[in-house]
Amino acid sequence: MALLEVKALKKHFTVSISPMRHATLKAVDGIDFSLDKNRVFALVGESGCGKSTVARLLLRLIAPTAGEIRFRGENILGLKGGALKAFRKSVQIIFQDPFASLNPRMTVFDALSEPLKIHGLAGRAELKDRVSELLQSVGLGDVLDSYPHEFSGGQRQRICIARALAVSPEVIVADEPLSALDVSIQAQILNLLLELKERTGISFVFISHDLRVVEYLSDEVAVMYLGKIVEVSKTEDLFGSPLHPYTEILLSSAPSIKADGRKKPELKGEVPSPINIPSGCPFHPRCHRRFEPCERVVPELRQYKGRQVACHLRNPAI
Amino acid sequence: MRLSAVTGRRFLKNRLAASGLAAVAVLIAVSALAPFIAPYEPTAIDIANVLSPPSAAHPLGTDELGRDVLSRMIWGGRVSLKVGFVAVGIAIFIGMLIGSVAGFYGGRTDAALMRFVDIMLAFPTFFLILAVIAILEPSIFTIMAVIGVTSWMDVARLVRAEFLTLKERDFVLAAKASGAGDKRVIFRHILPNALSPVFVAATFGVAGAILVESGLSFLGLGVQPPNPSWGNILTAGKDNIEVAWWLSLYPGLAILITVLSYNLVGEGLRDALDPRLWEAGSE
Repeated sequence: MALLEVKALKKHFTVSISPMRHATLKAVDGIDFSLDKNRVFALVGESGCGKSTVARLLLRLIAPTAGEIRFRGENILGLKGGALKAFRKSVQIIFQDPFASLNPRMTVFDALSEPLKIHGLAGRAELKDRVSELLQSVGLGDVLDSYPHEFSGGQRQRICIARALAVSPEVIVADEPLSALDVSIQAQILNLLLELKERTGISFVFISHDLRVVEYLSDEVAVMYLGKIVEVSKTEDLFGSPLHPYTEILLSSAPSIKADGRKKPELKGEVPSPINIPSGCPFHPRCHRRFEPCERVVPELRQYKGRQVACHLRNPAI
Repeated sequence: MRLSAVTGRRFLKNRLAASGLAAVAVLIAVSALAPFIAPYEPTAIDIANVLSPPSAAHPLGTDELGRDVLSRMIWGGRVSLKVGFVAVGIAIFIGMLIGSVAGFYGGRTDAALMRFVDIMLAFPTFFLILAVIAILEPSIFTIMAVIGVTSWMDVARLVRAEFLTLKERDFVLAAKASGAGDKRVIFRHILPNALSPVFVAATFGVAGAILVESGLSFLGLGVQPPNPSWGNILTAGKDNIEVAWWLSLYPGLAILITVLSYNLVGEGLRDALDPRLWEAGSE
């Protein structure tokens, strides 16, 4: 059984265009995936494709419009009271912006001891030791009485990781944990996450737009475009032979030091507004390989050679 | 270092704000020590010295019943501060409660509470207070209560606005993800970060409440004679303005300086607490 399983998950927001006119923004529009124990599942895509909304849904910080999220087989949307608290102890989150994700008026000790207190994981006397241990596990020294504004971005992100680790979770949802950091710091935090994965066996849902990081860290990758998953493959398959034209373009547009002289397909134009999703395949206006059915028929995510892809090119019936 | 220490340093760098704070501190000290430093009993009548001009015995002169103006002003300052602080305390309590509930729960609760705020704001406050005082017994307690329950709306709006932005912030979401309940999220995470504008509003509020109290006492609807208040000393001054200028000048100055000082402190606080004005060089 999968540790975390997402089925037909949807999140639609109502946005007001003018006082009398409202529109539906389909941030997440029917996605399925599952995460096994001790695995890293990556969710990639351009900004605005709904990745962060998925993170908030997985943590039950916002309620979905439709669909299911199952943790150890149990639908988390129905959880209440003690069961919800137990779920909160099992799944944690790391946010993108380490400057916004720590309470500016709480010391490091207060921030890290809070989850321990809430879940009754340490008595009064052990609190200090436990917090020191947590700090050590993320490579920070004795900074118990410092406030967040005294730290750099990388140090703050370490504190956020320590806070997520405090409850010994089974799953950590990392929502672009590196993109707000300097490149040199990114490598350190990335290695810290890898080391934690090896040592603790925590599973990760890793949300990112940085394909190099994803290739390095993840076991399986799902590519999202405008609220839908367009391809799911093992990391080496996806990077070796992308199935969806969008994946192909994303891979070729990732900056690379080696120049191989081949002409690469480029990503044309901007991501369309999720309020006004194109007909047929949502990617067709930007696709370099579109053909007749693309603007009429919405491609379903279907099995293809043991992988999953939503593209008419890979559908033998068309 | 704590954020409050940083704010304190930025506040004291502002000279106007610092002198405002000094004036406020002196006023509070004088009011607290009134029984010890007032040279006469504020209600002691001395018919032999009616309306005598400032002199060594009576530095600020005497009123139409021969009472020492300095002593009456020291005791009157006490009334003003008491009214200012208690009225603002009531306003902040009501405002924070309504603002937090509206901002945190949102939706219909928010809409209903904010329409109530709009209704309250639509009343001309001073006339509302006059009407209420006309029905109730005019006393210092009525004044405090009435000013308090008619001046919480700004605080409610400020707190609601802070809650609306703070509840979406990542650290609040992280607290929720850690299993923190509503109570912990509100009191540990949102409220402490929503207080800055409340402090500023409170400081301005004290100045406003002191003005309203003086106005009411001047009209005879506030502190009742023989108890002194800056407002009712001014009333006596108005009746005797041709012969006793000191009866109008000194309480008028006291009100002016007090209100000005609180406003300076308020402005200084607002700037010191505003992160947009935090320059890279200063911190």
